Amino acid sequence: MMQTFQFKGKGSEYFKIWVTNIFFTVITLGLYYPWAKVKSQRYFFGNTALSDRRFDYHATGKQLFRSYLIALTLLITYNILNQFIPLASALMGIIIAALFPWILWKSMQFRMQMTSFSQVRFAFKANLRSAYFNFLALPILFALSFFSLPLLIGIAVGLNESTSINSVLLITISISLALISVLLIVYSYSVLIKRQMIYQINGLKFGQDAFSAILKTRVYFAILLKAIGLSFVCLVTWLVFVCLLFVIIYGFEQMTTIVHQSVSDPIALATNFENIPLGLIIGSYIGGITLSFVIFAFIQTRQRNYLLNQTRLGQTISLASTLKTRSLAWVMLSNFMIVIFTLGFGLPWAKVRTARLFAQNTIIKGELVFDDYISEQRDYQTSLGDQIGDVLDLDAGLII
Amino acid sequence: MIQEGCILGTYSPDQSAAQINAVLKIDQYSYYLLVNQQEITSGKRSKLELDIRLGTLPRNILLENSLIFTSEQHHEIDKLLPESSKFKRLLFHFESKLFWAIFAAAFILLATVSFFTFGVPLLSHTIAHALPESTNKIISFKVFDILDHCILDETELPAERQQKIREHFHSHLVHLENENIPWKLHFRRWNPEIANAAALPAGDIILTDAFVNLCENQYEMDAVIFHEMGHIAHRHSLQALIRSAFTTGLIVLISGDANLLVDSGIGIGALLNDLKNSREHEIEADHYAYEKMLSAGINPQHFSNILARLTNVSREDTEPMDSVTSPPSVNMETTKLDDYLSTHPNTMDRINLVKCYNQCFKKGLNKCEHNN
Repeated sequence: MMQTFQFKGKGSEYFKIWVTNIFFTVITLGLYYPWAKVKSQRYFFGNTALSDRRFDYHATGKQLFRSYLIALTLLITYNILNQFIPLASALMGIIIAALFPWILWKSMQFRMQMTSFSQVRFAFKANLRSAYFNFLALPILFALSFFSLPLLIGIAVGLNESTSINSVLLITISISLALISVLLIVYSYSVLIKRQMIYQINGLKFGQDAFSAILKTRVYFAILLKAIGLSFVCLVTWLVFVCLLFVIIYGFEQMTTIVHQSVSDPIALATNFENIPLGLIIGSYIGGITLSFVIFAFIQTRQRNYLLNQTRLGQTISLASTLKTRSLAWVMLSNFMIVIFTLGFGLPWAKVRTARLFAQNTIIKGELVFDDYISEQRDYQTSLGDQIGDVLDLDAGLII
Repeated sequence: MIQEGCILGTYSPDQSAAQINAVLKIDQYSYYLLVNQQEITSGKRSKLELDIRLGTLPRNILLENSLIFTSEQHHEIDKLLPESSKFKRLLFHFESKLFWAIFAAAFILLATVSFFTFGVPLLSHTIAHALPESTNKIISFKVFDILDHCILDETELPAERQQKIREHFHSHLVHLENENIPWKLHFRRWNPEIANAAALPAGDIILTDAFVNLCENQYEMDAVIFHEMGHIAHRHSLQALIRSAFTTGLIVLISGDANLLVDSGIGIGALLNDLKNSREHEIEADHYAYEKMLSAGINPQHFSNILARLTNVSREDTEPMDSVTSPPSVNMETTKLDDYLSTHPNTMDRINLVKCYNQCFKKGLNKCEHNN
């Protein structure tokens, strides 16, 4: 048996809620924000449905308020320190980075406890030690992998100085060493994402059943390599596009003069920079944005599809995702245009469109006997982690 | 008058995910949960707990033994179990009316625009002047060392010349500013010979050798020094810092609810806004210079003379620091877009300003009231 999720919200309906949220947040100088957040969370969770069963978000504004104040104080302190005593803010940054896995862990626990589907709550049971491993130790290791690049280049330089091998061989060696280093970086990034996804999915419970996912590093590796290839294609496309715009605006003859001039006198070209027509600037900007959306949509689509296709709930239920790069890129681009041309007031429609796209491409397979799922014993945690994460704009980037 | 009636919906037994069609019957004091006309549970009407209405979402009614009854019959629910809090009723009223939404949207737009146009400059101005003088020392800490280390070399001006300029500075210019600022004049060489002047918030003014040599008389040098003193007296660096803190904070608040894609749009707006404010600071420093020139009895024309010469020279320099020079402008007819993209005001604005002050000078005034 297969069932597809639906999103039942409407842009026009959410617009009214959203605008009221912002209005009260503004006139209370931000104090209303926790309540506003609860409303928008409830709207999106509550309108995501599988036949007649819906998600729900149960946190209250009151619950979030205290920790919101703490988080806001932290953020303001950090900003002020950053402006006046950068060293102290760096120290604070390090402390927050050291606490980051804990914040994330707390935040996941709170969010999952406050989320239900068909009245049964989710839970997050992964342990704190793994959070530190996956969200602090691994990222540091990943950062270290960047050092392989200068290290390997150093080897090539050393070879050049100490031995008298011929230059063709040396260039071949240098290029292959640089390539190895790039592959190493991409591979360690794949390991990083894989481990973080496994941590999040395998810690998740719905009622008494646990979610599980078996993920392979090489799939993430392949996705990222393809994305790099796609980026090159996009870059070339963009350059061709900008050249075409140039020709359309200036005409071919003038363009060749400008190119000649720029080769002979780069400073003159730089001073001419402010005379570039607006059309060219906007055209190449929009072209660049479109292509970066394509790359971003490709990575997100492939990773989401793989993750959901590998995810199981208990023994009998499995998830699937049917998202396509094309549709995600289109929704992202059109949303961007909607938001820009409505001065931000189109955001509710943009969010509803995104939610609809994701819901419609999420499938549940298997015999769903809902009567079997029972909420586990609840012990409500504070929401401090969630709020710090929210204000500092941290997001574990989980599915659905 | 207490209403009585029935609500159709579903309930989940034993905290499970099952959904069973049921009826919640409510009379004057009690409620009864019925499935196929069989009573499952009952209790006191006053013990029922209801979640807040939001859009057309189904509503959850919490019964006494933590059973949850869910229904989409909004009309019946509102009739039988009206929201007791007036404020929550009002909120829902707002959240469901298009007229109100349009009003709120207009309010938000107006509030945002006026906050950025009036609020942020006013706030940063007030805060910058409320902070103690020592703040300026903190923010210029090490900046001079870094400049010396990376950009500037030792001056090659003769010591006598330096001494003469300094004496003139301390005897003729400094006393025109009431604020107690530890003024200090520095000479440096900026390689390749770049004519420029710069101000650091703690009261340090740097003149480059090329600039000193470019001045044809003492009045021209005074004009530029006044301009730099204007930056310091108005605490422009501090204002810019505070403003950027405000802008960043606000962007985080706004885009915390949005996503990465929208951020790039807001970021551009913020950058343009920053550049606009930077030009306003230049104009403010110009005003300061002209005012002080009038009080010192110097012809404002000297300022525009040195400005014009600096502009011609600065075509070759690539990156002016906080300077009096305009960015390289090839022709005078700059467009509106160019205005938004440059840190310094366009030359036409500055020429109009000097015309205005010239008239005041000719009338023998030592203050100049003018409208831009």
